[in-house]
Amino acid sequence: MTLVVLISLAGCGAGRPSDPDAAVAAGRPPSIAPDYIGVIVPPNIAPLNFRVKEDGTAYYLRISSAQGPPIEVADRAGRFRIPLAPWKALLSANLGQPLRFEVFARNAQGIWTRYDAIENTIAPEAVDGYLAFRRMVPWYVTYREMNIYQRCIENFKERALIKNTSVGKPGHQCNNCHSFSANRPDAMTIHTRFPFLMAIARNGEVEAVDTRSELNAAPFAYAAWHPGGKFAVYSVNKIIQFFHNVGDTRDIFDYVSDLLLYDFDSNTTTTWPAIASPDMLETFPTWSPDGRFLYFCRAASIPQEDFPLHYREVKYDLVRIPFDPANRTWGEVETVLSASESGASAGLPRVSPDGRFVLFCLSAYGTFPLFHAESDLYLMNLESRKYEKLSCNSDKSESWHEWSSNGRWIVFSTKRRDGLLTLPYLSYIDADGHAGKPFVLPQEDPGYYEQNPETYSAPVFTTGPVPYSEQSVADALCRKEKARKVEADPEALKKCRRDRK
Amino acid sequence: MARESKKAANRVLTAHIPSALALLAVSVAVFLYMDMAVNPVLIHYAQQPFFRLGGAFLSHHLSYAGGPVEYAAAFLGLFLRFDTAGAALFTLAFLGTCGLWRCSLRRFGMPSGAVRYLLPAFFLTWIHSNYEAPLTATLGMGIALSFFLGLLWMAAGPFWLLNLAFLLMAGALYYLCGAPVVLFLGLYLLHLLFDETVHAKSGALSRLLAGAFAVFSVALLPALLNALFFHEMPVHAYVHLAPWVVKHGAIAGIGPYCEPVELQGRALPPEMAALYLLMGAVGLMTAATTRLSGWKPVQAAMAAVGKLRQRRVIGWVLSGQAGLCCAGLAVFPSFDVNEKQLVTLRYWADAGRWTEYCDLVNREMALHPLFDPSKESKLTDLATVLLDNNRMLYHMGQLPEHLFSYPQLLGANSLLVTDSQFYLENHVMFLPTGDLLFEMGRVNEAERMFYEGWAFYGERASILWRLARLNLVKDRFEAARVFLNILKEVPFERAAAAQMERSMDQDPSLAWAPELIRIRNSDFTVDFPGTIYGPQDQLLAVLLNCHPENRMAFEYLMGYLLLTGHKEEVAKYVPACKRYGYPQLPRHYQEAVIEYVAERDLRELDLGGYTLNPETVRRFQEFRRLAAPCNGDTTKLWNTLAPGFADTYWFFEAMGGPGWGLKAGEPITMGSEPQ
Repeated sequence: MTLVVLISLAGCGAGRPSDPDAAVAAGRPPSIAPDYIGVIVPPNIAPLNFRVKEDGTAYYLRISSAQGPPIEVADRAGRFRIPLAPWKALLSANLGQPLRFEVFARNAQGIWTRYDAIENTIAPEAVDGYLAFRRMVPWYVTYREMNIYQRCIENFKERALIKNTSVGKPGHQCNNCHSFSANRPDAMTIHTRFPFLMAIARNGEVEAVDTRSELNAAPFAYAAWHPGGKFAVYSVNKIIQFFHNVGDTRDIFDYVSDLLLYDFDSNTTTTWPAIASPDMLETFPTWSPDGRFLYFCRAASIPQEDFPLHYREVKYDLVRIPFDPANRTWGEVETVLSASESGASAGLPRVSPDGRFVLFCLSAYGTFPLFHAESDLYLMNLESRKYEKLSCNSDKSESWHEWSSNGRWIVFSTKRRDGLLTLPYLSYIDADGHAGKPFVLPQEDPGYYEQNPETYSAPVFTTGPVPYSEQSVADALCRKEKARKVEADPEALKKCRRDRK
Repeated sequence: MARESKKAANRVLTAHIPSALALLAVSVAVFLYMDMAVNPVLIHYAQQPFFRLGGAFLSHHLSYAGGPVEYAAAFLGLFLRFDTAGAALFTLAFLGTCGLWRCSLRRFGMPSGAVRYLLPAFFLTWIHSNYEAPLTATLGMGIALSFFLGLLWMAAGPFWLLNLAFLLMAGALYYLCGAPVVLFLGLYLLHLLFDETVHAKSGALSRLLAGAFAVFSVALLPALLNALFFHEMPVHAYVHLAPWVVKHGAIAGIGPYCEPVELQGRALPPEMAALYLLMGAVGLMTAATTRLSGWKPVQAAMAAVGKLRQRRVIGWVLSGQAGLCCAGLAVFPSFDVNEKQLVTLRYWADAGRWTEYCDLVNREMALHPLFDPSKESKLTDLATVLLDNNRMLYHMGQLPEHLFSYPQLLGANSLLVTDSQFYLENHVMFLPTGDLLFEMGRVNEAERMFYEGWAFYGERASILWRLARLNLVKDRFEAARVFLNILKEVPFERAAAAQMERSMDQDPSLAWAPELIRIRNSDFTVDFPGTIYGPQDQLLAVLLNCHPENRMAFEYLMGYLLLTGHKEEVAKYVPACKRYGYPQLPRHYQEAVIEYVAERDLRELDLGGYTLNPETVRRFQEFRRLAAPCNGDTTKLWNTLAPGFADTYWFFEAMGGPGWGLKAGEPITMGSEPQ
């Protein structure tokens, strides 16, 4: 069967070179935005629409690979919107093959220039088709829109999972900490502040719970669903936002931080001294894929009054603790990477789906790598315990990373573009744990990122669309009076009271 | 024949020319009032409508009910930046409302020659003189009236067509304008109740719609109760209660049905709600005095009113009172004689036009109720003015000389707001504070304030400009470009944004923007982490340590120390004054030093080569002599010392710091501009 080649002449009269091969060679690749040069792309990704940053009166793009007819796009302004269907056909027919972008620009005299071809690669493995994230202007204390969205990354469709205006009055109403059970879209929790509630969406229903209990005055924060999906570990943090006069403006410090296990069915929460020590700060929980180890970050706490002088000394170790899911018993904490060894503070560990690697951040200190320009992604081989900085890092902050369910792709937030706004980048991870050059999530409008003042926080892959409507989540969170209050496990409570005494 | 037709034409002209001339005269008056008294430029400044070219902005506004009219209002709002165009726009709105309302009243059988049709347009004009009334509501009202007239035009057609048109138009109006659909529904229901042509065709439908109106009115009941128990204007109460209705609607599982209520709450400012009520009242009054038919109980009630109306005296009293009530309802929440001064001050402060600011503050603000202790002050306005006053003093080179010539009613917060709770409750302070911090070189803190301001006001070109400049100062050129790219889509900002982008690309050293270089060179080089409201004296001292030449940081530090009573610290910093080239030690510093020396009975103090002015020393002795018999009684102190010493540091301290109601001082003269 012969594929019909669609020629998109979006810019009316933009035209194409009569003989592309006769165009004058520029001798260099074109300057384009976003940077889609030399990247490895999944075969199911949406078209990499881009803008040519070269002078010209008309532009022409030819995309080709080993199999199938090329795609041709012409535009007067050099804003290439690649048609979806031929793009999909081309990528799916050329797994593991190079993907070549040839860009031509016509000058005022009508002479076409041919730039060196951009060579990308189509990976053999697909990426999870959906990405959930929070998108907002980087608000500080007062908020306007602060919504969590899900985007299909195979095309450009996006919908809100929850909007803050659906739950309360904008101002201080915050939605945060969306999490899923092992990339499954049908098991999700989302937190909201004012009211302090957590929406639990599972088994086809959405309900809201007030996560504050006698064990924890603060509500749940960072989440880690156990792979079984029946319970999750949450951090509870007493957080302060403070400000620097030099460098990144904002910073976060945890005065108190513990981990709690929450059972969805019984609506009870419990804890264990090893993950909730009064002398230690435990945070950023994540499970190994078999659910037998809980990885988290841990640092010795400092008195609140010492914070202004000593906050830079708080560096987190990466640790793990064995867990027996059948009896729900914990073992002894084992240090995976100490701060003294790395000289830095570990954050946001994420174990790869095959259990071979743990991906984490290292930053100079503290617990919020997003606000640390020096924060970089590191990958540790859990067998050899060797770790190395991934090649996909930049000189700006990298953080909030997640694995796709097949373990071949990661998505992470980075401020590399401008040092201010975090954007979601995807990177290929090969079998040996090496990262490919990352690329920003493609958008329908090629110039989208160049005039979008919003940040993308905490991107998370899911394998499908979330089956719960925004209205159902908002309705659950609006029924504050009907929200169940989380019960503290009596045994844990006794222990906690003893500790407090 | 020809003569007869000429006579007829003359009769028509004779009948219409006077009213046309009157309307013209009124229109000219409205134009002049809006242009000269209100000043559309200030309305534009107060609201700063944000409009972007391009499909994304349009499609966003087409995606929700009420969005299209917001889009149109944002576009028209752009022209308010020109006083003549803005005044013309308001005059057109005035004339349009007159015309539409006159046609509407005629449908209710308004007697010819009545001028009731002018009332809503007058109120609309007054409402817009309060600087905050959005064009959205005005446009929505015009569109709702147009739809209503369109519907009446169809009333002559088949009844099914009328009903179909009603449903379609109500739906379309809800999508286009949101809340103004209430006006459309209200007017149509009035029409149904009183227009015999429709009622004659279907009394049942008339009752059904009247019933629907009654159900809708139930939503007003909580507002009326609130007004009764909490003494709040019904229209205010209704707007405030809208979120409550939505919330409890959601709990009861009828959230989506409460959406119109929520929309009204968000889109209807109280003034416009009052205007709606006024229109309904005028319509009702007119209907009651003319053709009467329709639903029997209403018919009976209106007939009773009509009979009263026929008794000339009672009728005049009734209609007069109704008119007065409506006028009061509309004008009361919107009329504020001082608002223009406050908006003008903010406008000049934002534009850095300190000379004009100084003139106005000295001419008008001395008698401003904000500074009258016997009147309740609006804290937010007060704080903004105090902050800007002090910034003006700095720019006029008079902060060390005349700090206490101006009210410092919030103490150190008059200079730099340090109270976090105050910020959270008074969001209007974010941008003035951000501007002050940015100018001083406290760039990171300014960034936070600009974003807080954005969250409060929404997207505004002025905020995007602030962030573009700030990111240039922080060497984040790509981030600056994001804001410039947005501004390039904003009419009237495009050229300047493109120019800045070109300059940025051609010369990244920012040599083309000396002010930005100055700010960059004034920023902290040593981190002093903490909360933004942290100890200002320490923050300023660290900043000064980083850049001793930062005169603004120095004067604000000294001002802060004066306002917090740290005389010893003031004395410590006095030798540093040489660095800033003061020809003699500034007056307030001298006052603090003299008092400090007297209190400690010091024989020697390093003044860095400055000497104390003998006249200041003499005045201090005089002050002490007069203050001694008062024994700390603030009333006596006020009466004794205010006439001669109200503008001194000694008086401020003797009165126990802030809290006393000093009027603005004498006009100050232009000082040297800080280098």
